[in-house]
Amino acid sequence: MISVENLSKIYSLGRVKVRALDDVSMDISEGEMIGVMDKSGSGKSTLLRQLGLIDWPTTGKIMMDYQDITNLPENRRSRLRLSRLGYIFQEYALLPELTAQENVCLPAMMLGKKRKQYHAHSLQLLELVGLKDRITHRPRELSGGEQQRVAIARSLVNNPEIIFADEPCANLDSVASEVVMETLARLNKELKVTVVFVSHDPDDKKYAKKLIFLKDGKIVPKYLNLSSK
Amino acid sequence: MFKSAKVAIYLAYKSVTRGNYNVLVMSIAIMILVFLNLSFVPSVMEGVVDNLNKKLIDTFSSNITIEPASGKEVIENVSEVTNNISAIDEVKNVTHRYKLPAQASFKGEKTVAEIFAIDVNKDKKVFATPKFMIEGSFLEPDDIDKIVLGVQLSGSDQKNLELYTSSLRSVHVGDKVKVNYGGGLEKEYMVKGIFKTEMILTDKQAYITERELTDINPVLKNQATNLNVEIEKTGDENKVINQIMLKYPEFKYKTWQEIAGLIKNTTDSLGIINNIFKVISLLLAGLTIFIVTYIDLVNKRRQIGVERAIGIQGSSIVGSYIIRAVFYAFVGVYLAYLIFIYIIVPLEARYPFRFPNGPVMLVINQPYLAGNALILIVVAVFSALLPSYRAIKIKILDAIWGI
Repeated sequence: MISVENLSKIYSLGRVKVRALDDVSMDISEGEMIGVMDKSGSGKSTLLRQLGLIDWPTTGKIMMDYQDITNLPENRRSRLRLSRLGYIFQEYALLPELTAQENVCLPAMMLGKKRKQYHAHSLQLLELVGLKDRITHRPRELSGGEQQRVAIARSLVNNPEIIFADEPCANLDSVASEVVMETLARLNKELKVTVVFVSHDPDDKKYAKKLIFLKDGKIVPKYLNLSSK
Repeated sequence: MFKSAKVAIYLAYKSVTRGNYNVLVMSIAIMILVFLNLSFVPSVMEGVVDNLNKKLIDTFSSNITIEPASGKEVIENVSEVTNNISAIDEVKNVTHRYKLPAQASFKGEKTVAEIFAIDVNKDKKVFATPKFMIEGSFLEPDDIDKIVLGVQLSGSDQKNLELYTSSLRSVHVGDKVKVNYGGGLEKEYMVKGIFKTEMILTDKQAYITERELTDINPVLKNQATNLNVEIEKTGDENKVINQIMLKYPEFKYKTWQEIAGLIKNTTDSLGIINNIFKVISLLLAGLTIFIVTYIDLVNKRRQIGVERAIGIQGSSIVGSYIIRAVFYAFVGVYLAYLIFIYIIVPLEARYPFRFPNGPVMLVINQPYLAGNALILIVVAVFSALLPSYRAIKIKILDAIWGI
């Protein structure tokens, strides 16, 4: 599905060059639930941003269905993000002027789907993430965990093939974190959506079928396949 | 394209109806102030110019002044000529005047005076001078030995007058002034009235009746040094002149604009000042709107980054900010227009600004106001376009992180 070859990302901080990703290669197959783990600063979020087409790698290749998508122009990347990828930010990133349901509907509207269709779909998704009774609430009226679940529903509205979740529980308490992670796991299981999540919390290992550990931008050999679990 | 526009409208609508109320109120308030600033001073200037022109026509030149043919000093057979000119459709009224250069004196003060012998009834139809009496009353057709004076000639103890030092200084109604017409002809007149039109050119004049003129010199009967024509529509002067010329090609014709002379310098200067004001106001308006929109957009950079990250097209994002800016501009301009027309203009009419040529009313120039509105809307579009376009061109991560 997605294949990464020798991906590197170097940030320039003035004269200092920081190698956030160093020659990373990996494959993501359909239906997987991959956890990218380890300490802060190891390059986890950087990797996810390259995979989610939110940032450009310095070198290396990202292939999607055998097509090189590394250096697509922004309008085509935007189209891919809209139709095939879902992205969940650490900080919820909902639009404050829209209600929960409107936030979920927005990407579908952009894709040109019919109102009736995306309206019904958004309701299903909000029900799926346990927020059926919060559809008319605006982000400021929702808790952190609820906002993050709205963001999950939004990431699903265009039926993406893969969801990238960048530390989705970083700003949540343990109860809300569990709800969010379980929601992602359920989506993976029930809807067969591929999920790649980033977390520094060792407890989140249990949700992953496959784990990737990063240290100093490199994949470390304790690359575990937990699919059999 | 349609999808993009639909999303842009949707985002703009939600932003206006549910966005920051303070930003909404402030943006519209700034638009109102900018529009009023852009419209007010030019309206005053235009009011000054209009007032000057109107006073000139109403008290000094009329629409058209007709002078004798070259080489002649008077127009003969005035009754017939004025009747023929009156018969032209676009002509409203015609009067004739006989100008008598003279020297006036009062209690040792002497000054040069322009005295006009007038047909009172006809003159009142063309000129509005009788409406500006500050002492006494205007002439009646049968008045003999009576004179009305402009205040710049009488002085009337108004020491702040522009020409006070060269006036008769202290003449009031009932006083007797001596007028020397030259050639040993001197006459004493009782001052019947004093007028103040606040148009210096007019206020230097004095009037006696036509009957008085023929008393002085019967030979001058049915003669005039100039005719004054009031036409139906100011602006049609040349058209009317062409028609009169068909009958009287020998006369010299001058429109009020040609006579303006000194006033023209004033109106031209005011026009230049007005244009400078307009340019400065526009720049100020543009910058103000730009700064307000820019600050708002800078604060929304993260949101723009998020919108882009979830796949919202740049054109939708830019479009939403442009639509919103146009909405603010439209509402602001409309409210400012209502405030201007229904509050400021009537209020100023009630308590008018006083200029040297009299009280000035604000001029409502609809095409100019419409032009201002259009300019502000265009400025608003660019003020939203530039920063939002910039925001969609920077890296998504930089936008989200607010770099």
